[in-house]
Amino acid sequence: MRWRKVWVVATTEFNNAVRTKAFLVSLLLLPLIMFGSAFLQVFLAKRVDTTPRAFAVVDHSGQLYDVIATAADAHNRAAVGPDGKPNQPQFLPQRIDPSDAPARQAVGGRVKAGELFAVIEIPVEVNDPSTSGEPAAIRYYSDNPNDDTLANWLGAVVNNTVRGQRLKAAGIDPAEAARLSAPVGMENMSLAATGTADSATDDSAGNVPGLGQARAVDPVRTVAIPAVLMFVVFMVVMTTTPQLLNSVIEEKMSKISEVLLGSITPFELMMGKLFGNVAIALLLAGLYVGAGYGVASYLGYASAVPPHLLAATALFIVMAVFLFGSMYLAVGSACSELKDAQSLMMPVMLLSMLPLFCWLAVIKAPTSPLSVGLSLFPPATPYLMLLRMAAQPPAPLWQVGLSLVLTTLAVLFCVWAAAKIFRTGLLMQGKAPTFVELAKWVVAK
Amino acid sequence: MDAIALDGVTKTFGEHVAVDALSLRIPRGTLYGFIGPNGSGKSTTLRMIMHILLPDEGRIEVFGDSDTRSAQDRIGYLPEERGLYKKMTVRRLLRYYGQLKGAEPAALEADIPRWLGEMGLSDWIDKKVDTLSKGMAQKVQFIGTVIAKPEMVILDEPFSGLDPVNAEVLKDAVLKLRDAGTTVVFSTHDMGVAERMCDRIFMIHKGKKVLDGTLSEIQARYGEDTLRIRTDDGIGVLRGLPGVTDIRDQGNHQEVRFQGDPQAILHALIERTAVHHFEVARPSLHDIFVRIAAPEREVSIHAMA
Repeated sequence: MRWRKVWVVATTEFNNAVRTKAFLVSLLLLPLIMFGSAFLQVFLAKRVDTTPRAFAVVDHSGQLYDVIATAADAHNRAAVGPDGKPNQPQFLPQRIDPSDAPARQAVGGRVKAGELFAVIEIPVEVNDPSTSGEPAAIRYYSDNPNDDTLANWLGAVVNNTVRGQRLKAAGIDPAEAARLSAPVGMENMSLAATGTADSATDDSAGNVPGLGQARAVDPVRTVAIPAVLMFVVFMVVMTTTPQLLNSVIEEKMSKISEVLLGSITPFELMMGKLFGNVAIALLLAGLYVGAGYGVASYLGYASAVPPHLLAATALFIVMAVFLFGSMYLAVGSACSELKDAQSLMMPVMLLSMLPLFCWLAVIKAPTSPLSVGLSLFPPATPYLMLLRMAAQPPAPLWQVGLSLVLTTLAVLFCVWAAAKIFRTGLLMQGKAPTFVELAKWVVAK
Repeated sequence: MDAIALDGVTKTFGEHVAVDALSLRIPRGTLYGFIGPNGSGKSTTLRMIMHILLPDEGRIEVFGDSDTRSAQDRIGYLPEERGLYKKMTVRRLLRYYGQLKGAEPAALEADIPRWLGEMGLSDWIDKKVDTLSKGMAQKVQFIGTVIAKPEMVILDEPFSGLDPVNAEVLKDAVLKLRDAGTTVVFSTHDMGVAERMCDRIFMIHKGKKVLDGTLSEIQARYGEDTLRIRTDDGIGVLRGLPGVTDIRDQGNHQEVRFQGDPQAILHALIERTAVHHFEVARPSLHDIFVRIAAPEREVSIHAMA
């Protein structure tokens, strides 16, 4: 390989990408969209729909309607903000006599017509704590099954009342029962570093020996930082590698490919593009991580991002760009038009989006067989192994090492196969090949 | 030493034999014209010389070296289907093409404005490529081919689609290159250009070499078997003349292939019409090309005559 030519291609790719307005815009826009959407969700979650909820109660037990009506009254009085406007929906119960068959039959239609928000039906035996099987359930009918504000409130009211009545029937003071059944809190602690001299002796507070220096778990360290690092890799890979597909298709459509091939081999061209893309990706990641590190330092979390994690982030970005970049280059070279590329690039897209579907499961149980398996799967390694390295407990060294070996092998295979496709595809015009044809190009001599 | 030597080179695509056992020598410093109908194997041959395609059989040497890839940097190549990066400026594009050929950046900084000046494009140096007209873009492409001072340039259809003024500018540039010692190989469909410019002409047809030599060598093979005739009555009066085997109408004059005595034909013609021009000539390259590439056409005219 003539490295000088690779260098020329790489620097040109880099300059072409970085010197555009689009790059600057995407640099600023992407975090804006990500944080903006997070902010929007929080904002929307706080916006409560205060439409009054009229609902009908068919109380077969005959004991609960009054309780519900009283509780609704109290709720409605409390649900008014300082400005006199309701800050929560008003609950407006209506009694339906269970023996009034026409009214009972009409009630469903009233819900459908929107006159009522819901109907609940309370069974006779609601107060009877059955000894075997499921206790009788309240039935809640609504046209808005996903809006659970009213359902939750009703459930709580009925349950509190029924529990009180049952305790009373059993001769237990409800206040005493509540005191006795107060839950014990649980503080989530992380383990202190083992092996320090103090940890074995410091049990003055009656703590388990060796755990004296434990700190309370900080979700910023255990969830936010690993997630941010992983999403930096994700964002960077998603913004840079698909550009390779565009660049190859542009060269094919504008008939530049053959001009280039008069000066450079397909493999050199491909490597130049990949290296250029790595540089763009690292620049982006450097800017994002740098800014993030600044924020972290400001908030006192600088120590939560140790240098080895930053190095791992960089290494995984390089690997991911080579892995996905070579796939995009292969797809791009095989197609003559952008629309032909759409179907061929779907699998690559899905592979590179894999972490989005499973990162939550991995961070909740980083040592579970699923998490270990996923983080060793090469296309997911750059995201999920990084996540595991940053999470608690960190991935064992041998797993990190194994994942690096596997991913390196995958990168070598992808670059090799892509080079074969690239070589054939670059001068090919016309119909896009199928996956079977692509496989034939790969195994061709 | 030859700039290019091909020995028994064959290239097939599936069932189709694109180039068939082709042998060819192109001496250094010559201006060599490749002619041949569409699909005859011209571009495939050029691509093999450029190491873009590899031959199935045979041997290719460029500047005496059978590793054609290592010779790539010494050759400027303008493919038939060519393009430019639309969003790059002319300067950055030429810098890229030059550096890919191994030119030194410092030399390029001086050569780019000089070449653009010669082509009348100085004002466009920092403009984006998509603002150029088609002719301008084609000249920029040519500069991209020669900017790294190659020892040989291979130009696939360099003049196609150019207006006469731009075509002249480019032809002058090609001739200057040849005068400076650069070997020039170009393919063309314009037989007039090949006749006027080339030292030697090579014709390929259905993958095989059918002509190779200087223009007069080639014409000598066909002898003086052609008459150029201009009369009052055009093509009509030529039919049925004794010894005439083929008539080709060129509009204002007709070209006639004949056997036997031209004087007899002239006598017969004068009896039919007023003759303004009567010339015994060698066949033109165009004529030779058509005789080789479309023999069936001759048969039909022959039958008509």
